[in-house]
Amino acid sequence: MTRACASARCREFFAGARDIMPLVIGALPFGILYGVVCLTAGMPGWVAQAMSACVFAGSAQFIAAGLVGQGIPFPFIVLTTFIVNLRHALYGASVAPYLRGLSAAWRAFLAFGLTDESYATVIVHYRDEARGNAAVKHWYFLGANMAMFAFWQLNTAVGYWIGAALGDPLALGLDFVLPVVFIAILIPQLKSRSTILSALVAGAVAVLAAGLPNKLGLLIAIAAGMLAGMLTEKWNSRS
Amino acid sequence: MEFALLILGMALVTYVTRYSMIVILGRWQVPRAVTLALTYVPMAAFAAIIAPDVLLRQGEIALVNARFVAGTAAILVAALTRHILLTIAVGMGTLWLVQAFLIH
Repeated sequence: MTRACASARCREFFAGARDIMPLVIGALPFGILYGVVCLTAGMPGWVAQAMSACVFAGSAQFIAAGLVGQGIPFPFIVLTTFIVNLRHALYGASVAPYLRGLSAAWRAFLAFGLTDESYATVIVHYRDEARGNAAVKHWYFLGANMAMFAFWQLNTAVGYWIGAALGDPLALGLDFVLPVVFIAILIPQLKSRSTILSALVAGAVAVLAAGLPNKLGLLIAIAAGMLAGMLTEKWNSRS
Repeated sequence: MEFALLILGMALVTYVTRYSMIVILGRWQVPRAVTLALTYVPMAAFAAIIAPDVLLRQGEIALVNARFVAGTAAILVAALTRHILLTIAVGMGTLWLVQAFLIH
């Protein structure tokens, strides 16, 4: 499809939409499961769908639907959502330098779609100077966001309306697609001692802290990985 | 009505987590140490998402586990070939094979 594009913007847009596809497929079982959880939590269909459209944050929506089902007060659910999504602030900080030249409207709009999936896709593209066209890479970001958004809406609808009939989407192990895609993206990026150590420490801390509620373990693990990477780099440059 | 408020609240706090740093770091010059630290975010985030999925089974570390075998196979293929689709194919293929014939 990118070949049919006349402009660099168009090429970037479709390249972003194409590159996020493995992650879109990885998110599919979660979208369907989310729909099913909403159904069992007694949430009307429009609530499930509106939440996917306005919040657009898989894990937070999943947890929120579960909490609604348990009758937890809504302010507490909003607070939980904030904690679960705190990692997005780190993603925002990480892409911020690449978005400096953009208008406020562009940045505000791109920020809305900064999910785990689009961050994973976009940051690799921004980092690699040999890839794409630096002046219009925000179109790649937009393409990835919009593809993810469109499929997330579709997943929710499918999950809510026919999810129960499909059976358990986890039975085939489709939820394993997401970690495998992350492996495929992560491993080629580990090129130095500091990046390898950063990944190892983050992984180990994530396993040890997996019992913590609200994905706090993930946040702590990312922080530990950053620290490990920096310390190794400092130590390397001294010796 | 209450559901509308819930969605509004959730949408607002989620957007704040995503947009705040883009605005703050877009406006002020960031210290070099911060930029340096941020380069490790993707690696750390990927690893932190992968490791529990591969190593844990019902909250316990389990090495005799189809996901650990499949994850290890995927890591090897990714390290040797750097090929995204091949890595996914080998990872999922190994998972299905191991689940079908050996362990769960």
